[in-house]
Amino acid sequence: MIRKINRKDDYIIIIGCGRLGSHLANLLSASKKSIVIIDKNEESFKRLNPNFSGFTIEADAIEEEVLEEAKIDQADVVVSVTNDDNTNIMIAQIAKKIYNIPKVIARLVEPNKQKIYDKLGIVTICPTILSAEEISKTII
Amino acid sequence: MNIIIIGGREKTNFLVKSFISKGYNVTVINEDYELCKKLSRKYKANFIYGDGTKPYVLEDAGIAYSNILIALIPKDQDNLVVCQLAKKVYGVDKTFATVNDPKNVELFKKFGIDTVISTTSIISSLIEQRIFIDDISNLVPIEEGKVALMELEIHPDYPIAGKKLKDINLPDQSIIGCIIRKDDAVIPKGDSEMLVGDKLIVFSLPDVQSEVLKIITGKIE
Amino acid sequence: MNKKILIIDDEKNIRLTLKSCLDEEGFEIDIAINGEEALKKILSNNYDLVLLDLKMPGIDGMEVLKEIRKKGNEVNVIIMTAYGTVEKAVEAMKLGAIDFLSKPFTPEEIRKIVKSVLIRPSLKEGKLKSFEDFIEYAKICILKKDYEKAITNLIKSIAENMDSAEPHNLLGVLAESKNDILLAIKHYKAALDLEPTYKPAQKNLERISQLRYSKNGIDLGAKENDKEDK
Repeated sequence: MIRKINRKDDYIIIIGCGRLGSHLANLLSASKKSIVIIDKNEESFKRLNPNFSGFTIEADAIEEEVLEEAKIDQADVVVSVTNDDNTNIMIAQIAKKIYNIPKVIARLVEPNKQKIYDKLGIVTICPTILSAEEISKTII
Repeated sequence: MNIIIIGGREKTNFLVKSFISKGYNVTVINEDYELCKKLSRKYKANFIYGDGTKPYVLEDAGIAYSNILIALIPKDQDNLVVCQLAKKVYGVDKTFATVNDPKNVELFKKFGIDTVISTTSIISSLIEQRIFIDDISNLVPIEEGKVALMELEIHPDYPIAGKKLKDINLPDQSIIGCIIRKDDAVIPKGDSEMLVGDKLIVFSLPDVQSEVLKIITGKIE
Repeated sequence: MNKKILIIDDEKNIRLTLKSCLDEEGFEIDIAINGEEALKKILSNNYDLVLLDLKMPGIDGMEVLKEIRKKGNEVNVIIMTAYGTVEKAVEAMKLGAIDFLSKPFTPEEIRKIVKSVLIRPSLKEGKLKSFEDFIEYAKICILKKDYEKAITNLIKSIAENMDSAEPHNLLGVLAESKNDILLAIKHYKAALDLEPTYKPAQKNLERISQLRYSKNGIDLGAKENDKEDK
């Protein structure tokens, strides 16, 4: 599949508008990135800043049609940060393997699941480990 | 043969029964405490009460020694993760998963799961062909539904009761593979007679299933 | 002189997205947040292009389009459709709008479509060469209601590029507008054979199957009449 190289426009799809997802969306939107944020529950979008300039989609991102409507084939970055590890893992793989998205990031609460994804080119962020590291920095 | 079954309810019960009768070692991981308790009283198998998508639970269940993992968890993505952990991290030979979304059949196979069955597709294809499930005592899809295996008991009012195999006009893409008569399994030949009470094991391609049933049971729709 | 563009959408985030993307390209941007305001501004200003959201409370996008065309205003309109809705391709075409942008849209998509609409008027019939030329000229014909010429040019565009779904989709919309439903279905299916994921054709086919022989695009949930011919 031939991909267009967008130099300055990152078209970013974020799945999950919880505390992490919404914060991320606000940060990226303020940096002029083009954002689409997907969440199963419309109420979650209330966490977005009033100045959020992007698209919101209320749907279950695990369904192929939803990702297609979100134009995932044109995405430069896909970030899956729902509060369910397995959902994040599945979406990350769909983004990487089926749509060849250059940058795919998944949030994993359970660090032991990371082993599967190291070889697939999916960046996994484990808040549990990061928090522990940050906290230990203030102690050590 | 060491088999792990994760999730599922009634299916788990029957699978455990079937595998134990074949002499396999079975471990069940389930989040339903009552189910674990009930089944552990019935069967000589290992029961682990817990979340099978967590690596430490899988390790407790002896996944390192398992040959086969069957994932029957309600959410498709959970089955995906469990099977991938099994294959890629613990080296389990074969993984089976059921999925709700038919689109996930192709998807999961691309992600490395050996066999994926969509119960939705089977049920909807049955409804499309307007097959009534009472007539079939057992329906096993083979190769993800590419071939259907049906087990039917011959009732007195069936048109084929008393007929010989050679006189029955089954469609080309179907065959009566086996007759079970009082615990004996017989591979039928042209002269074999279909008796009331016989259990027929019929193989057919899905698109002629309803025709096969019509010919055997005489019931239209 | 900078081109003037009016953005009409009731959602702030959409307006912000469009504005920031188009500001960079040097256009002069104006905003309307509902149908009433949109009408006032369009009828009292000379915009080069209008980006029109369909789903708005009060007067919706289609009504705005109807009103301005009734008053003889022929400004270029790009219609923005919401996620998950069925496209009102035929109705829009009759009201002189043939360009659609479906949400969510990427900055690339915005730029591409704005550019193509603004360049279009400069096409000369005698100087058409490439696939893009023919298909864009066909769109001019459609907007001028010269449907036969549009078909001719669409066919010429297909000769230049056999793999594109777009001309077939447009042929489908034209067929549908003439009530030739079977022909329309054939064209939409041809479009999808070439590009199975071509959204406009998918949506048109969906809409046609949902409504059988009705011509009005029905938005999921809208209360329009469903004129079924049985």
